[in-house]
Amino acid sequence: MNDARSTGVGLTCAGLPAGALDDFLTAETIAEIAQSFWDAFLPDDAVLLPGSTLPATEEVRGRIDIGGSWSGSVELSCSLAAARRIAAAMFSLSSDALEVSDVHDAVGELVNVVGGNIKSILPAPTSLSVPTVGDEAGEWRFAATLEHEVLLDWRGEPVVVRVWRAAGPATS
Amino acid sequence: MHALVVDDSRAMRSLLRQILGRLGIDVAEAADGRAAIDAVVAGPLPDVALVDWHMPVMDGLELVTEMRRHKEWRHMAIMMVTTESEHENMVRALLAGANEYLIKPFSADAVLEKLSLLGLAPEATPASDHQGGEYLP
Amino acid sequence: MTTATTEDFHFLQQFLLDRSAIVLSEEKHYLVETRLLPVVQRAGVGSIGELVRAIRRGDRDVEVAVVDAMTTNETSWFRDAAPFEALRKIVLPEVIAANVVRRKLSIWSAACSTGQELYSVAMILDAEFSEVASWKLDLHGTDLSTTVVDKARSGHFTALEINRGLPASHLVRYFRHEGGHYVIADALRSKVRFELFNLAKPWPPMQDYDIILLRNVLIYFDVATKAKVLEEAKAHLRPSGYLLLGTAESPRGLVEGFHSMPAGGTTIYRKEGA
Repeated sequence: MNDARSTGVGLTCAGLPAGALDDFLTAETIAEIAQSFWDAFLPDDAVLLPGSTLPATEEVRGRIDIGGSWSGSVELSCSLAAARRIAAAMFSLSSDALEVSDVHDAVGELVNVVGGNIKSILPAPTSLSVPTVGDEAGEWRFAATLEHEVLLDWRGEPVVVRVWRAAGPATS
Repeated sequence: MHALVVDDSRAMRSLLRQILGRLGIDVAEAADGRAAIDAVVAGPLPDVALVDWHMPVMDGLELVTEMRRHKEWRHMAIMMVTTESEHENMVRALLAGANEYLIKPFSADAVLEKLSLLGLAPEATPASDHQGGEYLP
Repeated sequence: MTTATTEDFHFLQQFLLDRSAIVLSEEKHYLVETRLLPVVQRAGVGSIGELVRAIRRGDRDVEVAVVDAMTTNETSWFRDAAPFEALRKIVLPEVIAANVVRRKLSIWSAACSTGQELYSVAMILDAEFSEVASWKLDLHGTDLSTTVVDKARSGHFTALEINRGLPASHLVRYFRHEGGHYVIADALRSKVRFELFNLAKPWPPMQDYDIILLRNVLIYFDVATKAKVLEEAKAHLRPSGYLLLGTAESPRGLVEGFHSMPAGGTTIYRKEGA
């Protein structure tokens, strides 16, 4: 359900040449942005450590697309346990009172904030799609190039932020 | 005091409701700009609208522009609450009639301080009387 | 190596309570360990126990790093509304009027932390007191910690920091967005200078100021040091210069020669004698 879908953001390759993203966005900056979400919204439980391993299963995935001077996607995935803990904090509910839609909405806002802050670093003009959340990797990934993969660890639960460059106008 | 939280994310609306609720502020919610206009028309007039930028149906910038067409809503402050922080876009929102700007992510303290800047802090200093405030650009 | 002993934890509990009014309950043991691990690594020490010993020795850089790690409590711009209202409405108009012939104005933020207070003053002067634009301005910030002085000088702030009490009009006017940080405009940064300074040690020969901001720092000193710092501050104020202290601080019983004046919700102190 609710899998990543085309969001209407024009995925063209105008603007930044391939490889130029690093001038603006480093893995360290991505980790800082993710940390700022935890600092602000989960202040009692806010430490993200560098992660060392990919999760065996990435159970919840959020994605948001950026278009404009640079085109691509920011993808954030985590374990279901991490997603539920984020949702519980944002909705102020106990974990067992959460619906699937609550968990998806919370991860959607997480990827929206992380993606929005990444967008704001890129040279204007840029545009941002509405986030989508699902539990499987979409086919769009086959055509995109992985620019950054940042592994984080939140109290033993994996959180992964990936930045993908769109392949070209045909990708969506 | 009444606040209207306009954001397409239920999680963000819930979070802002908690923060504002702890300050003793009544909160109404809308999921897009059109629903926000409907909520204000239905009344009562909020003291402040907290407005996301990127939303379906009617986005935050359109909403601010539309809200400021209603002169009878001039006592309502508008605060953008968004990741949108391109300089040019922040200026556009302020020129359209937004009075403050809060960048996501934000701490609960930051919300309170921004309300203070609007003269709307729940334990406001005696000098600032928000009843008389006009927030037209 | 990362575990905190019960004794370390209790020391940190008391330290953070005193320093930042942070209450750490016993179940926050885990939080202390995860948050201090990066500090342990950066400080190049072996354990949380060694961090605790550094704090006991009075290593201010370690203190700052520990407080930073344990709080998300960014310093606010225009921290506390009342003193900045007093600056706008009373202190600056009066001091500017008194200096209109000299065309000089000197202001010292004596515990400047990461610079928000001094930059806030610079913004007020730029936005509201255009008559001083052509004056010789000395806006001086000092702090004990290399870390915070370096950060103040850099003028780089995060989104979380920029959200704290900075009016949107000032955000768009005085900052540019660069690589995920908000950078203070060169025009403003060129007006301020930041240096290391230890208020508790003997003061070197230095200039006098029209206004000294000595806010939220006396609370960390014992009574004798408080009195000494206030005497020195008075000696380095120009006649009728102003001293601004933190909300919980007062020169009463510590130093003579200040005229206290209620101003909005706060009290400001004018040096007696002309």
